[in-house]
Amino acid sequence: MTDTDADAQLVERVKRGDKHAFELLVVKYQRRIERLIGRMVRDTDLVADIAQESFIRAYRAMPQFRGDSAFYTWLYRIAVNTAKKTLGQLQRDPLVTEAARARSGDDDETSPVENELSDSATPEALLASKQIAQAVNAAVEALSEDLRQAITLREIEGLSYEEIAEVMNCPIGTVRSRIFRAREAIASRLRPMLDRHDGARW
Amino acid sequence: MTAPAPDADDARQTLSDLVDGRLDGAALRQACDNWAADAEMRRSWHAYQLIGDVMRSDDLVGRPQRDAAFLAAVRERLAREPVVLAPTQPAAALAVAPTAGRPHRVARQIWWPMTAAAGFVAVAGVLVVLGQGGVSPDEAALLAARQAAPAVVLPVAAQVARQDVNQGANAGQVPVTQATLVSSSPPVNAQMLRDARVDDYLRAHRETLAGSPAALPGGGLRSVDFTVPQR
Repeated sequence: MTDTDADAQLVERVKRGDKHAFELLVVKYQRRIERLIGRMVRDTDLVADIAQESFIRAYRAMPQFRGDSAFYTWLYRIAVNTAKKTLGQLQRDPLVTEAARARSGDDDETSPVENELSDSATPEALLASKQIAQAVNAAVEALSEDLRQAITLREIEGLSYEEIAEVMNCPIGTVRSRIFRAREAIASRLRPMLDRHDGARW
Repeated sequence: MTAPAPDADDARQTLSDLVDGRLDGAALRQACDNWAADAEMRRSWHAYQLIGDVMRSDDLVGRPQRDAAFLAAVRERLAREPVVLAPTQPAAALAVAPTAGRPHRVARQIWWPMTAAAGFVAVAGVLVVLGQGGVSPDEAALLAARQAAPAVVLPVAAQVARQDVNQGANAGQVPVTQATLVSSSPPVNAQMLRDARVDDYLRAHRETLAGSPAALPGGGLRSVDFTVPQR
């Protein structure tokens, strides 16, 4: 689901010279872009590098984005092209391909370059991610009926505030408030899990 | 855990509005500024976005503890990029946007006439990026002129760097000037913004052109306010 309208205002701000508006979009789409690139590239550090490069290329190309498609659709294409280009460069790197050729067999479906690059996601990291997903789902379940319905209609069904107001038969102000309180209730459970004091700070 | 201060709660409500694209104008600008200035706002934006992603798909969790580092890396690279400026709304709307007393250049719309007399005017597709401490608009126009073949001029979207309106700790520093080639296109976005000093430059050189064979009857280039309806 893409929030075409939700992005339009931030995109306009970026085009008016507001880099922070672009950073907001980076945080918003980082996970989706990394998931996309992760289907083409296994090494998680390389995934992150390509994702960063994709965002920078998108920023530079903002004048060419006219809003004919959704911002995420446009960003998606840039990310795919960036990943392909990077893999192509790695294929041509003699050091990488020589070692890869020595390892790969004929039956292997992944590319020789991919074999050379190992996956750096540890079991502990995977478990931590799974726990966060579980915490979100549990927190949604724990919400009151009104809050859960409001946030579900917004985030999963993609309804606008106006549409949600109609479905829930309440004023738009109430919709706005319920969605916010739902988010805060879930976020307050997540925050202790998300903070990592040895890592980079927000 | 103590309840958040009313200000913090209001700020987070506003952030929630922003998640759903419910802000515009001054409120939007303020929210972006607050986000840039306040780590708690950045944490909350990240959390709200993560919540939406995970509700839609469990495999969008990723590795959230690394996300702050990701943003830091992108921010660092962004800081070295020239500021992109290509608004799609008319200049009138731009002129009234308050910038909290910070002086800013007035952008004017200029329609470059389709004329072969524009020997020194940039060919379609040449964008000039200006920076503080870099090339001045006059020199930049001259640079563009030297690169240009005397040919028909098409309006293009301009990319002009200027001081970042929202200067903060992480303000985009505008670096060395570079000229960028961009593919030209039919005038969907036929507005072009130029620094007011370019107008002075053109006026100063109009006299030079007047006597040349390239001069049009009527005096060569004109500056006209012009808007093309957006497609």
